[in-house]
Amino acid sequence: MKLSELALGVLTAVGGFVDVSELVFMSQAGSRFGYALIWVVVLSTVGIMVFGEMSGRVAAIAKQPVFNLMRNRLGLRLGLITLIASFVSNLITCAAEIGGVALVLQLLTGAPMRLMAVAATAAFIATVWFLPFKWIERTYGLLGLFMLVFGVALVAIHPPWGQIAGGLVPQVPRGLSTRDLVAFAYFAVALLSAVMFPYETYFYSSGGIEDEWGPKDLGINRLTTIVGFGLGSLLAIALLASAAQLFGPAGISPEMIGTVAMQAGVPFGKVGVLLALLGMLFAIGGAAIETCLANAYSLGQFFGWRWGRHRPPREAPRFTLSWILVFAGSLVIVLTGVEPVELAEYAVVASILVLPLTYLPLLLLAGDRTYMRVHANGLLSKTLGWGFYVLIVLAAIAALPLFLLTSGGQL
Amino acid sequence: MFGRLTLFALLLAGGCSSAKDEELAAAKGARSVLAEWSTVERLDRAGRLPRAYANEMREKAREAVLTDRKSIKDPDAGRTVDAVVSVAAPSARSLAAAGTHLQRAVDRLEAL
Repeated sequence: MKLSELALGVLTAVGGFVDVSELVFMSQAGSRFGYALIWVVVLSTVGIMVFGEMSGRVAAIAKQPVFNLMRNRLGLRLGLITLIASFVSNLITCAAEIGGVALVLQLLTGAPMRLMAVAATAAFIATVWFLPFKWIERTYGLLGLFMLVFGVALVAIHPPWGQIAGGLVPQVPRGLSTRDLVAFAYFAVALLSAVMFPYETYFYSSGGIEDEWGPKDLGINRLTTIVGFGLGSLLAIALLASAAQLFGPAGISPEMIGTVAMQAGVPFGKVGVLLALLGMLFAIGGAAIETCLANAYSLGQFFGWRWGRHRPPREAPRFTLSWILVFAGSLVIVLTGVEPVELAEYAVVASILVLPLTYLPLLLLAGDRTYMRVHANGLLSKTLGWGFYVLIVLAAIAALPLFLLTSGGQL
Repeated sequence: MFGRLTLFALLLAGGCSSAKDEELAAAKGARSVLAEWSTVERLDRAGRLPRAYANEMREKAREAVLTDRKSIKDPDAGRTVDAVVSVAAPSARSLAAAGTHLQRAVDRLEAL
């Protein structure tokens, strides 16, 4: 394994970790509850490390992407229900990402948002059509590293590091009203969902097959998921902590995505805002492509079409048509005028509902020695996997009532 | 605590307070947007924001406040919002003051 390959993989994972839902929810959670939800981000990151590593390992050893597994393990009917639910969830997420990109472009250029949404979608289609898979991942992942300005900004504003460290301890803040307690629970579930979005495993495992992973790639898989996601999570925590420091005392609970860029603007002025907007542009743009491709992968794998970006578009016509239509459908949703922040709120709730169905077949196959041989889940993977599975089932049960009770975190 | 949560859930699920909740959400949203807008004005005045960014944020803030205004029935809160949006270029200070004033309406609505 080349060191440069490894470094690129890790950096790409860091730059691609944050998407529009994380930008919104990290900032709102920090401004509203200070550092008290940091432990949820850490816990969720361990969750995505566990399932990300598992999906990469299954792709490398059993050569099975997630949706192949679903159809085989859940059966046609339950598999189809999962496919439809995850398709809708990914479509809403993709629309939220495209809307987010359009908003950032509007803030950078002053051009109308709808025009920017059309331009961004055209650029994404061209990117996926012309660039090889690895370059799509790397271009957006590496340019998303502009987001590191949020980490530097946090250091520059001299936050109370002791209190931030205190946020690592699982807690429910004392003295909250009943309404605030319910909102705290809602944000905990939303952060879990935003970090563990199902499209991430669909995309990651399909990417492993696109890149023709084998047993020799298990090391890079493990390092990418643990180090890459771990460092990406630090970026997410920086967003939350900056918001706690800058927005909470000012009574701001970011209602506009653009407000997030001010976290870098306060210490670094115009340069900070521009770097933040560029980072947001590529991080959200990368997520738009990932969610769109995740949907096309799901359809291709479920119905047994020829799929993958390693084939020229004309050699996988139904797969190609799928991702173009997903982009087009997402654009239509954005053009209706729904706010991206609102879409992001729907996306996290829809996603958490899909998570249990996504991870169950993965857990079963990763533990199956017939397919995985010596690479089947060991005691640690098994324990963590089932532990997190119980957690996401509980979160899925609670998500919708909490969303309704808090009006999507507004109350 | 569990009892209070259950009662709260039942009240909301029964739709007993949906109109009030909508107004409370709008008042909270407007209060936050006013604070965001105020920060934009303050940083822009200090020359710390790119021009296009500041202009678009202003416009978005005005749109967001006007949308929230439609659900705010409290006369005092409504007057506060109307006064701010009637000015072509409100100052950071007036926006912050309006936000503080709106907080009182939020407190009143939360107490109901």
